Amino acid sequence: MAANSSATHGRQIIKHLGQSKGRALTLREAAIIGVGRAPVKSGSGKSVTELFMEAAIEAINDAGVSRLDGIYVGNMMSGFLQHQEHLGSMMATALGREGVPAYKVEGACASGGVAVNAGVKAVLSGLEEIVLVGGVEKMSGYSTPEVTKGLMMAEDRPRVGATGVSFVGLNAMIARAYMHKYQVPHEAIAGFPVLCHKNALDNPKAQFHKNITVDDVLKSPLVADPLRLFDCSGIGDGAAAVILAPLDTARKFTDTPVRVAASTVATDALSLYQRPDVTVFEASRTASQRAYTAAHLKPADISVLEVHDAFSVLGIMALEDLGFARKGEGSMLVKDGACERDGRLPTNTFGGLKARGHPVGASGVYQVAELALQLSNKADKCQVPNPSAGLSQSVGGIGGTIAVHILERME
Amino acid sequence: MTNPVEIKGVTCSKCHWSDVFPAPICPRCYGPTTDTTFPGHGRIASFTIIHNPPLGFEKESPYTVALVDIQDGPRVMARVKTAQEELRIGQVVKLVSSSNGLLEFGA
Repeated sequence: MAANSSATHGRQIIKHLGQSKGRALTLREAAIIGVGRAPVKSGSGKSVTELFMEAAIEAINDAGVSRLDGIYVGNMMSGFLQHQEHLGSMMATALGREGVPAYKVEGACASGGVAVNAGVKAVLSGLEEIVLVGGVEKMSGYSTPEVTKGLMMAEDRPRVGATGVSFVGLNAMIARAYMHKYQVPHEAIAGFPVLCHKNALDNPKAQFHKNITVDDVLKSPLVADPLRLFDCSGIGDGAAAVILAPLDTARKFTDTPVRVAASTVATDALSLYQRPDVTVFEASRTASQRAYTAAHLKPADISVLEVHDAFSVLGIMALEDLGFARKGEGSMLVKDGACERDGRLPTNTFGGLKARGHPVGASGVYQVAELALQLSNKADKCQVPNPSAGLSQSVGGIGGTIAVHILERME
Repeated sequence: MTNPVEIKGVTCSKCHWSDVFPAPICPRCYGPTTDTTFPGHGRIASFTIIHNPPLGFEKESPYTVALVDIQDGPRVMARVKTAQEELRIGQVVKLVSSSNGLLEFGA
């Protein structure tokens, strides 16, 4: 029955487009009607399926939906770490939704953001109405060298794997080039993880509940020079989920739907050595410019921001590449307090990747879920005052894939 | 030990794109590529010293990985053997060895 109604709706849209000669086409829009988040933990003791179900069931109950027309599972490393693929069918089975089309979506550390994009496209197409997007990753319980090797699957391993570079090492080369080119000291970049740890104190589902100082960052052990332990997000298990629906039906399910104003993905050269300038993520610029155009918004209209601070320098670069600061000046926003929850650009309000945690394939969904909570005034102690529009940026690999979402509060 | 003075690679006959890895077709203009050699020296664009290595590299740690801009050639990711305290961006390094796709540079 669900499939029939979707197909009918699809035909109606095609018919509508066919009749709209010379007029601006009005496509269907998508909304978020429910969210779910498992707490991020190292050593959760939970399986990939258990983590996913925890977030998915919370989102399904939050939306109050009984039917699902599609399931999208963002995940990067289940094949490598758990020797388990076929997560689409696996999660459909776990949720008792055999028959529903289900997909694993992989875009390295942006898997979650790309999965949300896939789910949004399904709703916009008219082929699916009620869509579950979940991101999940289980990273703890394995040796650090093993996880480090797994993360390198996001680079061009046949070409650069023999150098022994680690994923942190790639970001360390970005950090060194950035600090050199713009004469920004490590102290300035270290302000980003300090901000995230402070924000995470109010998020009961964050991995870390501990204030840190710039000095703590600069005195933590070197992982890949110049990046130190507290410059880097940790290893953890987690899952987050959102339920998407057509905007025009969203109020049937919730009084506080959040409009998906833009959902974009852009790619760039896969390997760091293929980039002429490693101090910028071109895919961030491309994806965000497309998103601002689609949403009819500009950076100044964004009132809450979630960026992919897997490493301190990436948080700073994101502020620049997404249009909030000029190159080399991102750290000034953090220093000036603009990124605090009571500042003019509240950023990583639940702790970001650094302190909420970065279960890689889940992070992009956590970001979107957290923005949805902010825009529906359900963020509890993490709430920022009356945000109207939020933007999230999810980075895959070393910027080879970047997903951007802009969400808006409904009037 | 041999002391290679040149780096093998490919260059596009039409648009002059180049790389040190084999590529029969140029990814920029889809034109044919030809085998070529680049000078065995370049400048460090950035570098890192790996303290927490991936599986299989534990015994070599700490070691230096760098982006090197080959003179009149492409950028590569390579090992650098120079003493770590002497490393800096812009420094000239020379090819020391090349085997199984891994380039190693030194002062």
